[in-house]
Amino acid sequence: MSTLLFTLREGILNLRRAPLLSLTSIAVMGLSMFVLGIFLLLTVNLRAAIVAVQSQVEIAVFLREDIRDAELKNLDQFLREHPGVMTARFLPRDEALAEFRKELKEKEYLLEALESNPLPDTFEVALYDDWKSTERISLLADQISGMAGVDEVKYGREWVGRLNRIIVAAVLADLFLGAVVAISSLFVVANTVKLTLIARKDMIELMKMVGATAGVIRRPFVIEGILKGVLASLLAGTLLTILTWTLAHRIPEVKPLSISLLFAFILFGAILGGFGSVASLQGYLQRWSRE
Amino acid sequence: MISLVNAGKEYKKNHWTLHAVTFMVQRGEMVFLTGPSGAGKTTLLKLISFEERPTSGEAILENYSSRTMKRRDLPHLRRRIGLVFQDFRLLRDRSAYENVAFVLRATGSAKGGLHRRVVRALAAVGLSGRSSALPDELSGGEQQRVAIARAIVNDPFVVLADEPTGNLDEATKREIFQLLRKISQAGTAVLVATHDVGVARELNARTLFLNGGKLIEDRAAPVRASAAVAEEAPAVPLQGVRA
Repeated sequence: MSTLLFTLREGILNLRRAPLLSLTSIAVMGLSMFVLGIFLLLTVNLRAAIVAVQSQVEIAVFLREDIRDAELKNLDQFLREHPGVMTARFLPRDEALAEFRKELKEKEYLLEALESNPLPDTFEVALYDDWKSTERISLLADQISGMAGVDEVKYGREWVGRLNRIIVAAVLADLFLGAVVAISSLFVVANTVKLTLIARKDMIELMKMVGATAGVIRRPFVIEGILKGVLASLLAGTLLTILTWTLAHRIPEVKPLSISLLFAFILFGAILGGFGSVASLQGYLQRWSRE
Repeated sequence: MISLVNAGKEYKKNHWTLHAVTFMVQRGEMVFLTGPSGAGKTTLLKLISFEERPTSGEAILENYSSRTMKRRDLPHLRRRIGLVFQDFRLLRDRSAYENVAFVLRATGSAKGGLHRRVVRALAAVGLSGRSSALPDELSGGEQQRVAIARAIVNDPFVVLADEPTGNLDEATKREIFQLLRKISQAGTAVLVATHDVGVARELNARTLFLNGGKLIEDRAAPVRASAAVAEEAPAVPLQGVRA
């Protein structure tokens, strides 16, 4: 039997040899992964909220009454060709008034006093996300303002600035919390794996004694760690799905973790389990190599 | 060939557990290491198994020297050394067969057929009929036999036994020593650390006496009982440490 088969067999058998210890460590790792998953869920929903709010950022370009056809054509071409512009919708003044009328609903009578249409022709410009920063949107607005036939450009300068600051703060807080949760999970996993190693100290000593290489000693524990990591993240994934499902019944806006993110979560669990084993074993093997 | 040349071990500063010990053991020789507790027997075995490196002097096993051996060679060297302990150190959740097979599996040394080699090793220690028993189902003597089978399954050039009969009754003790004797007669060097001086005398084996970390006597095996071994084992100069 090759040492590779030996390590695979030992890794799987290790899980079965001490079922209570294995179940306890999978449960502890699973709960730790669940906390990480809750954080991931918060991040996904924070991101969705940011995208939803950002999508409302757009530029309104009000045109002069006496704008010439050539100027209108020029402005239209500029907007359509600009890399930051996702859509540019021309809204003639009559349509703008009709829309306004719809928005007013029963207060439509307020417009009866008007002798003429006070609204100008308008371009409603929707931007790509990377053009919604304060600097870029302000630069684009200034460019449009300087064009012939443009009366006024509005995009809510202060509002966009505040929104961007809130988004940056939220993302930074999210990253910080993520790092704290990930490091805590790693410690929990490494210590859980260490318990397993203490329980198998005799076997490690025996393997060293009979001349197994460091790689052969390490591999069954890494395989065991990976298996535990996968089982723990499956447990955490199940708990998260139940949590999301329960929340979505109360708050329909709650977004669940996508299938690809759940796969990444399980893969992360496997890596965490394997890495936890390597980190915990290092002490044993270093002591050995110093002999 | 196993030799220690002026080998000393200092664990704490100015506290030498072994002082400049020199001796040589040939293949097929059985040597007892004896002396009171704390004499340095276990440390000496640790130097020979390269579990520890000497602070001064040199330990040599076949082509490996403690001075020049690289760490990556340590596992390869250990595959050529069989270790036997007082507390057996068997894996409690595996059968006698699995405990012996473990060595071959962990070292990838199953050439020549894992099953055949394990069965032969268990037969050599008289445990053919007990291969599926767990350690807890075996007597102390049987457990030590499994440990000996584990030590010889990889065809080592030396078996090192540290107080192998410390937990056994008189009759079982004799059986274990006879077994080790048979192993040495088959060509493997056997070094046994023991308090039991009488057994060494009974078996007519060469005996090294240690006291306070010093080798105070190297008593050769009587010629009448083991002429062949005595011929192979030259007298070892003790460089002034003989009492």
